[in-house]
Amino acid sequence: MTAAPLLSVRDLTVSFNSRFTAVREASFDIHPGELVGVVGESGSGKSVSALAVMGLLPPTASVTGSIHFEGRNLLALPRRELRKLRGRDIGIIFQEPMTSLNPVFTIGDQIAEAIRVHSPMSKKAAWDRATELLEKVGVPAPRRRLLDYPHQLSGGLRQRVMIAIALSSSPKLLIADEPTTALDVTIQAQLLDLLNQLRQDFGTAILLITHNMGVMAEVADRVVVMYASRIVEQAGIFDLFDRPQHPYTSGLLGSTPELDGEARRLRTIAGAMPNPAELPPGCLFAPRCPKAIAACLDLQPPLLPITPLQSAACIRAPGLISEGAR
Amino acid sequence: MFGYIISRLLQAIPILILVSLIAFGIIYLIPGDAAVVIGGPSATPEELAQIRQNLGLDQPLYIQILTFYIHLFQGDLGRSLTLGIPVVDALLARSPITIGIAIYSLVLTILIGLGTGMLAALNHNRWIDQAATLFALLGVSLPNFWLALVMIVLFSVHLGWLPTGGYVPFTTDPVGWLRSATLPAVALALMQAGLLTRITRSTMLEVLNQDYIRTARAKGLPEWIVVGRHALANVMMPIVTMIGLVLSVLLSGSIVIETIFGVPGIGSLLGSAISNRDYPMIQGGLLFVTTALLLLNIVIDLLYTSLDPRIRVRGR
Amino acid sequence: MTDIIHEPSRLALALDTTRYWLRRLAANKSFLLGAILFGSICLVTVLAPLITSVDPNALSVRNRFKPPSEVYLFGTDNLGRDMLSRVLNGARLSLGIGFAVVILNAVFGVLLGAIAGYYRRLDDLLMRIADALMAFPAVLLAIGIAAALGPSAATAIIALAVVYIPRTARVVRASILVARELDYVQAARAAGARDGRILWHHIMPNCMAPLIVQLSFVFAYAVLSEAVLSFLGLSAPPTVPSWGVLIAEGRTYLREAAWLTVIPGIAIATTVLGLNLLGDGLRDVLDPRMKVEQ
Repeated sequence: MTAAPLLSVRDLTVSFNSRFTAVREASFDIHPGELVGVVGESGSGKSVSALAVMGLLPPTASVTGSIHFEGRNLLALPRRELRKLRGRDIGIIFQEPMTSLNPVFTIGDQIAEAIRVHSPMSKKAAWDRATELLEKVGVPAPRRRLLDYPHQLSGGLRQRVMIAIALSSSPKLLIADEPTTALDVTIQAQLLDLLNQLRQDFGTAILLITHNMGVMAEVADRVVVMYASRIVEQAGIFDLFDRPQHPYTSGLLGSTPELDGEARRLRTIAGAMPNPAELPPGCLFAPRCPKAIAACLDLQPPLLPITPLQSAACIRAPGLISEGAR
Repeated sequence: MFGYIISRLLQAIPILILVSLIAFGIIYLIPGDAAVVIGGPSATPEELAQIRQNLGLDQPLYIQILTFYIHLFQGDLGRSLTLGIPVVDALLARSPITIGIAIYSLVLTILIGLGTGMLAALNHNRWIDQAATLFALLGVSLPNFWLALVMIVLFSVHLGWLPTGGYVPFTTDPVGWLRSATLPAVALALMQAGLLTRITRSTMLEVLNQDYIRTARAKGLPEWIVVGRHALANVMMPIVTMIGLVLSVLLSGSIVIETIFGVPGIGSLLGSAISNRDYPMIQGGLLFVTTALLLLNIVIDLLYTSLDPRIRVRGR
Repeated sequence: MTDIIHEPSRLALALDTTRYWLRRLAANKSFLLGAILFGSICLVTVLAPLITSVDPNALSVRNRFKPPSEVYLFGTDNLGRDMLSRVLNGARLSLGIGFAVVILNAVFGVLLGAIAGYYRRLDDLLMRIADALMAFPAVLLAIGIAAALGPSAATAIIALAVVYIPRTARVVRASILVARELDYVQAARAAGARDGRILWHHIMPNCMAPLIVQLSFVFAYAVLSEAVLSFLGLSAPPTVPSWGVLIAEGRTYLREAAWLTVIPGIAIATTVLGLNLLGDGLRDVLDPRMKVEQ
C-alpha cells in the first residue's frame, strides 16, 4: 500500500448543465493489482465517476478536481492523449451487454478494431489475437464466434466479448460498471470468477462498480460507498463488513441477504435517496438516518478518518464516538 | 433467401393487378364521351368511330378489361395517339434519360441529405443544427418547379454557369451531359434532400446516444471513426428504406422538371401526353412508372435484408 | 339520461382540456411560427378586397412589365395586370382547393379508416386498395386523374383527395387498431354498447391527435401539388389564376421579368412552410409517440 497509486482521484466533482451535481468531492485511490469496489444505489454517482475517469462524459458535464493516472492528470490531458489512453491503459466494461456492441459489425471485427487502434498489426494478426482473447475470457469455439453478429450471442457471451475488448490491449486498469446486473445468477458468478482470475494472472487493477454488497464480499479488496453524489465510507472489505462506520453502510449490509442462504430478516433502509436537484442541508443521509441527531442537519461532514485504512463521513460513526469516550 | 425473393414477388401480384386496374380505369374518368374529348370538337363521326375502335371503347366493359390484360401480358400498352408508335416503345426509348437524371439526383439527394443531417446531429442545438433544420424545412416546402425556374434565373441567366435547358446525351459528351443534367437533378434533389436531412438528423441523434457508440469511444477510437464508421453504418439502414419513396417523388417531379429544362425523358413525354390528351400514353406511363417503382422497392427490400445482419440471419 | 346529467361537467372538462392544449401549443416554437406564417397568409387572403381594389384581370398596355415599386407592390405582368391583385386572388383559389382537399380527407379518411380499423372483414380489401393507390407516385397519380377529368378546380380537388385519402385512412386505421384494444373500449363493448357509439364516443377521441397532425401535412402537400397541377394547366382555368398558373405564365418572361415567377413561388413556399411548421408543432405537442427526438 505504500507504492504510488495507479489511479488517484481527488475532489472529483461532476455537474450537468450546472443544474445538478452527480458527484461531489470524491477522492479515492486504486493501487496496481487492487480490486476496489464502488457500491451505492443507482443515481449515487458511481457510473458518472467511472465515465469521468474514462473521459466519456457528455459535453454537457463539467468536471473539476483531478484524476491522476500513473502521475498524469487525465482532466488536463489533451483530447488526443486521453483517447490513446482509453482502451490501451484503461479498459471499461459496461452494464448493458445487450446494447454495448455495434449490431452491424461482427464480433471479430469489433475486437480486432480495438486491438489495431492501439497496436498496428495486420488484420490477420489482430483476428488471431482476438481468438486468443475470446478463449481467455472463456468463450467456447472462439474462432467461429468471431464471425457472429452480436444478436446471435447470449447476454453472458456478449459480456465476455465486452471483457475481451476491454482487455485487448492489456490495460493496467479495468473499470467494470455493474458488469453482472443484466445477467442471470450463474453467469454472474462465472464473470466474477473471471475478473478475479484476470487480476491474479495479469495484475490488472479493477474498479468494480455494483450495488450488490454480496458481490463485493466475494471479490473486493477495498470498498468505496457512495450515497447521493458523495463518498460516505471507505474501508477494507473486512473492516467494512465487521465494523461499518456509516449508518448508510450498515443499512446496505442489512439489506444484503446472507450469501450462505441462512434465513435472516432483510432490513431495508426507510425512505428514498434525495432528489439530486433539491438536496437537504446538512448530511445528505440525515433524513433517512436512524441515528441522526440535530447536529446532522446543520453540516455535511467530510470523510473523517477512523483508522488509517477506514474513513466515514458521519459525526455519529461508532469509531469516532468510542474514541471520544476514551 | 431465394424463397424470400419469391414470396416478395408473389405479394406484389395483387397490388400490381389493382394498380393496373386503376391505370385502366383512368380513361373512364373522362366526363361524357371519351372519343369526343380525345378527338376534339372538330372531329367527324368517322374519326370518332375510329378513335372508339382504336381504344376498344365500342366493346363491352369486360371485353375491354380482358383485352387490356391480354395485351398487358404481351407487353403491349397500346398505341400513342399523337406519336403513332406503341406506348411501350416510346417509354423504353425515353427511359434511359430519365433513369440517368434520377440516379444523378438520387446521389445528390443522399449526399446532401446525409451530409447536412449528420452535420446537424453532430452540432446538436448549435447554429449549424438550426441552419440545417431550416434548410430541411425549406426543402420540403419549396415547389421544385419554381425552384428550377429560380435556379435558371440565377445560374443560367445571371451567372451563365449552366445552360438554361437542352439535353446532351451522356454517350456523346459526358461533360455536356453533366452540365445539362445538373440543374434538373438539383431541382429534383432539393426537396428530397430536405426530407432525408430530417430523417438523418433524428436517426443520428438517436444513434449517437446508443451504448455501442460509447463502447467505440471507450476503445480509444478517433472520433471520425466513431462517427464515420460506427454511427454511419447504423444511420444508413433507415436511409436505404427511404430510397423507394425518394425515387417515387423524384419521378413525379420529373414531369414538370423535364418539361421546364427540355429534357427528352419519360417526364416530358408524359407532360406532352397530358397537353395532347394522349390517354393511352398517360395510362401506359402511369402503369410503367408505378410497376418499375414496385419492383424497385422489392430490390431495396432485399438490399436492406442483406445489409442488416439482424434480418439477414432470420431470412437465411 | 345520464348524458344530460353529465353535460355541464363534460363541457367544462372539454374547455379545460382545450385550454391545456392551447397553452402547450403556445409554448411550442415550431407551432407558433407556423401559425404566424400560415395565419398571416390566411388573413391577407381574406382581407384581399380591403388591401387592393384593382381588378386582377384589368389590362393596362401602358404599364406592362413594371417591376415591383411603390405603385405596383408586386409589379405588373406582360399585359400590365397588377400582380399584387393577382397573387392575392390566386391565394383564394390555392388555399380554397387545399382546404377542400383537407375536408374531404377528414370525412372520407375517417370514414374509411374507421371501417377498416373496426370491421376487420373489410380491412384487407380496403387496405389493398389503399396500397395500390399509394404505390403510384402521389403527384403522378393526381396528374393522371386530373388529365382525365379535364381542367377545373373541382378536378384538382378530386384528384388530390383521391391521392391523399388512402394515406389519411391509414393513419386513422392505425390509431383505431390501438384504441380498440384499450381496456375501457373492451369494457364498453362487453357492456353491450352499440358499434357506432363505441366508435364515436370511445375510439374516435383517441384518433384525433394523429388525424389533426396528418391533416395539417395534407394541407401542405395539397397546396404544393395543386401548384404543380395548375402549372401543368390541369387545375382551374387561367381566368382565375392560382399561384401555379401565375408561375407558368411568368415562366415565359423569366429573363426580363423574374418577379412574375418569383413572387407567387414565395407565396406558395410561405404557405407550405407555415403548414409544415404547424404540423411539426402539432405532432410534438399532441402526438408525442410520433416524435423521433426530444
